[in-house]
Amino acid sequence: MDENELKGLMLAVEVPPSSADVQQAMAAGRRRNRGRALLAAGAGVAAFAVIGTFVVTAPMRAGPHDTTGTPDSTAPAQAKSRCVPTLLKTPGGAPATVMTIDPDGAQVGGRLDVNPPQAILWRDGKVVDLPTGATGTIADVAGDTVVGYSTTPAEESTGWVWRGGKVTPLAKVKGYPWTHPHAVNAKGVIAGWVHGTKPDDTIPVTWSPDGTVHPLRLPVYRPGERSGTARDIADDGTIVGEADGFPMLWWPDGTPEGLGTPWGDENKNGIAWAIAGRYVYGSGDGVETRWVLQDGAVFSTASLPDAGELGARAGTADGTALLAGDGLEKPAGRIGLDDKGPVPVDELRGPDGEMTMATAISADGNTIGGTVLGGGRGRPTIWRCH
Amino acid sequence: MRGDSRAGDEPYVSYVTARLPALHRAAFLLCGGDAHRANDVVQATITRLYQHWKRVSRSDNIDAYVHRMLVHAVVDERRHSWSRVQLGGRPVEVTGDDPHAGVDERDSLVAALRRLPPRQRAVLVMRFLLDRPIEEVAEALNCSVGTVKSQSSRGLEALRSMLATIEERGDG
Repeated sequence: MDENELKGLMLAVEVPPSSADVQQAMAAGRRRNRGRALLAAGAGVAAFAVIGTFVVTAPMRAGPHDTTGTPDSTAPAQAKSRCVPTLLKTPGGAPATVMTIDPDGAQVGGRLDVNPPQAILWRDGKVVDLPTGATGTIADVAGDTVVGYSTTPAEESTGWVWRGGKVTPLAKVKGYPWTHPHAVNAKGVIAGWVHGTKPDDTIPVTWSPDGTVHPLRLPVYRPGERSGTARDIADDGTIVGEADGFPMLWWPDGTPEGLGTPWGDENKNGIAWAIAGRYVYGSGDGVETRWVLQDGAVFSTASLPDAGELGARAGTADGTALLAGDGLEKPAGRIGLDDKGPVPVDELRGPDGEMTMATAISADGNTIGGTVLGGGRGRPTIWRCH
Repeated sequence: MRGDSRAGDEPYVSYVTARLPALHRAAFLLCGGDAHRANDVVQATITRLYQHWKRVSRSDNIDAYVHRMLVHAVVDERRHSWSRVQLGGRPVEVTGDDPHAGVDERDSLVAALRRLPPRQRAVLVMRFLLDRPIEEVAEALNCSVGTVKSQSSRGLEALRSMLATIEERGDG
């Protein structure tokens, strides 16, 4: 049975008659929209509310960590208008996606969503001329180092780094035609992954500043499964990402450690998107999560407000988390560290209240990069928060 | 359909009416042949769609939004039990007392789909029934493109194996 035969079989399955009721859906939808409007009006009055549970665990070097309790599902209050959006201009008004922002918040990188995608970099809000070879998508920017990747006509992808006026290709791993850098630290070390010709053959890797590649060690979770990606790298070399679908951390010596979930269960799907200082941001078991590292161990795990499937996409060294939003119903937001008491979520909306997806945050947490959605196209945006 | 639509609702009603059979088929397969759950999922999806119709309807690709909503409705509907199922989990072995032995391949397909891990099932339905691009499936399921590819491959392989087993038992 091939893919077409499967489709044929799926279309031939006898499906019982549907009892879905369009009028009922419309009536329920109207009721819910009225309820949401009332909630939104009330949120301006309520300044603070309790957010997720902060669960402290015993420090340990490796292995599952023992957490207790379940996250509090109480909705956080919204603090509106503390983050002001500014749309970034693109050549010809082309749609674009923001992928990254540099630590000082002055440079924003991403791609124009045209065919093929074109790398774009804004510095202080203005489009920067890129050298030949810096094509495709900009994955990350740190100081004078810009990292990206592009797809070749041969259906492969190559990575590159632009530093000191020179574009250097990132080394490929033999047998892995897809190269996907994702983050670079202040020392110029790049984290990402390579993808092979087999469907599940993905290896997390780092590239040294000179472009040489080094595979990361993968833990063995399931027999026969060996896949993982590195999503961010701290200046000390700690790396976060996922392995076989589990949120994962690699210590600077290369030792992998499962991060687990807010419930303390290591055996759950998730991803660690970013690391800043002692905090790791991501999602575990479908819940936005902020992990805390201390003395070379995973110290604690906290759940964050629900902001869609992508979880906490980024964050800062002071514990401020960037909630990605789902682009549809749950807005992107910024939330500070709540270990000393409840804090509000700063909603990130478009200039006219549009839904957004946030991708990156500056080191001080006051500049955020993302994309305003609407009209079937993405508009690159930065928010300045105060 | 009762005639109590409000002015401005016609595009929504037209869209949903046209897509309802396809949505219901996708939901039925996503739910592993559970017709009651499929109805709930479709109802939740078209309700949510109505809530966001103003924005979604401006999209160039409404179907992409709706299919994502549909898959998320399945996830949300059984969020806790779903979350205990590993994305890369292995299909349950077909046992000797399979009640579906002897039924035709279409019914066997539903039985086989039911035995797949839910997210693997979602990958197959999104990719091969709904024709969603692989990147879109990855985004909807919050996983990497590589994971979608691997789950597609494993899902197909598992279905082939289970259908062959069911067929053998039917013949025997």
